[in-house]
Amino acid sequence: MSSALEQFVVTVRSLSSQGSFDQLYEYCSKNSDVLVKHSAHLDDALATLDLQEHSLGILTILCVKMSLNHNQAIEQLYAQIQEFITECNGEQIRVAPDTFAELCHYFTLSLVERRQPMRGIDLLCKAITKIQLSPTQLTSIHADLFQLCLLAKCLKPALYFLDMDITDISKEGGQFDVKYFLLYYYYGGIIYASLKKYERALYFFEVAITTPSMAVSHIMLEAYKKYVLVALILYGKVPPFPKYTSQVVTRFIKPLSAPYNELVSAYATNNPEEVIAVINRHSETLTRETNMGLVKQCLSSLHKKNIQRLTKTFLTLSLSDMANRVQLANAKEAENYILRMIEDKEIFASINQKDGMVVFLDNPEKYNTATMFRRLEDDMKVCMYLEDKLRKMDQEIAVSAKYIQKVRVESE
Amino acid sequence: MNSNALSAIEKAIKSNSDFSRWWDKMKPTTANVVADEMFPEGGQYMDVDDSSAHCSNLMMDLTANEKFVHNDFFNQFDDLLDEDDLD
Repeated sequence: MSSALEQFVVTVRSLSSQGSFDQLYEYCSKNSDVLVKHSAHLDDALATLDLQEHSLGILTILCVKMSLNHNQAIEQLYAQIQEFITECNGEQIRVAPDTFAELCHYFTLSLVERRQPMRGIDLLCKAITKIQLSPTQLTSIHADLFQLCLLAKCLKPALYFLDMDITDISKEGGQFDVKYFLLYYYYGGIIYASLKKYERALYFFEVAITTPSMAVSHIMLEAYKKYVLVALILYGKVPPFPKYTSQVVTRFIKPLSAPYNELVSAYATNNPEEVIAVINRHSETLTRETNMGLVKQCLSSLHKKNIQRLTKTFLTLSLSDMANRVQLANAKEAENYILRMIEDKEIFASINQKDGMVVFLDNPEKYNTATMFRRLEDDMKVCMYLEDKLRKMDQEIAVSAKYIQKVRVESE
Repeated sequence: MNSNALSAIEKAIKSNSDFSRWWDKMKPTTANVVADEMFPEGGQYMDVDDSSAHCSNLMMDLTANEKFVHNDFFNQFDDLLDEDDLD
């Protein structure tokens, strides 16, 4: 080891033993160029440090190794990162959340380039849990995890983090970029949409497109397209944007999404032929933007809505008549739709197989069962928790120095 | 302005003119409605008619201000919903 590298190791050991982690973090940040210069001997330095006692020093070395990596001994480096994230001292790394996040970003990028997204999922779950100050804190590593989950088509691990509403954002030493916030909601929306949890998906895309903005973010643009499609699937129309939506959405993003706006207009006619015409006209764009799956779901939802509308007019209807009225290929396809809708409780009906007639029924739910009572109680608990959370956040703002100063200035 | 942003604008303008032509031809009339029970439901719809109107202004504004960001974000995922099973 050279004397400069030796000096680095000595300082890491000495400041760690004193517990001066803030000072050590500052020292490591200022001396990463020493590590770059002596990159050939970084493993020697690592061998002299202990995972638990010198986590900050090891983090800095691994981050430099990862940033310099040219696919040499990559498996060894992956093993070192795996061991570090699993065994490191949480208290120490929380002093350097920016360096820790940077290591995770490099790791993700490397796995994506090597087309091995699956092997990073479990490790990034651990990394997020380790660096978070609370389970509802957003970090920039969340976006990395979701990216790997989507690439690996393994979505369940992401749900653990997505189902928890975010109440705080880790500043990561001022390195947290709004890009990671938008990616969290954009990738999260795709994950929910892929699992057909459309209400949650719509909420995620809405947060992405209503984030205050002075510029057109490509993330917001893509979120807008998916927002439109998910809104059509859920409601058959696109609800008006909240008042706080930035002007860029109506001024730039909406006009840049013409095929999707056409789809909204065609959907509003309730005529599947018009929707199919728009899909055919823009199939190349929709496929290239990987939205064809959602578009197909839109068409399916239009058929379902048209079937639901028939229940308001008819008590019984033959399957072939129904297929005609909602423009499905034949009675068999109509039957498939009806069966799926009955299963999902979207309509209440029975099919007489003898004469091929559908009988529409009323909703049998009387809202007087123990199960329903339990469901209401659970929903009320969620509302009460949210109300409590809002009240606490309101109190925090009311006593914050910034808020008080702003109110005072405005009142003068 | 980067090439991605420019091509996005070009595409939008192309699609918008296609949209206007298509809209003139295909504006829904009562003849398009396939069954008498299929009227559009009430409630507010998002206004989509203004998309072609500001095309040239839009181009000028964007060129002047270079307002595009995050054009390098990772979005190369497979379409997880593009399947034949539509249930």
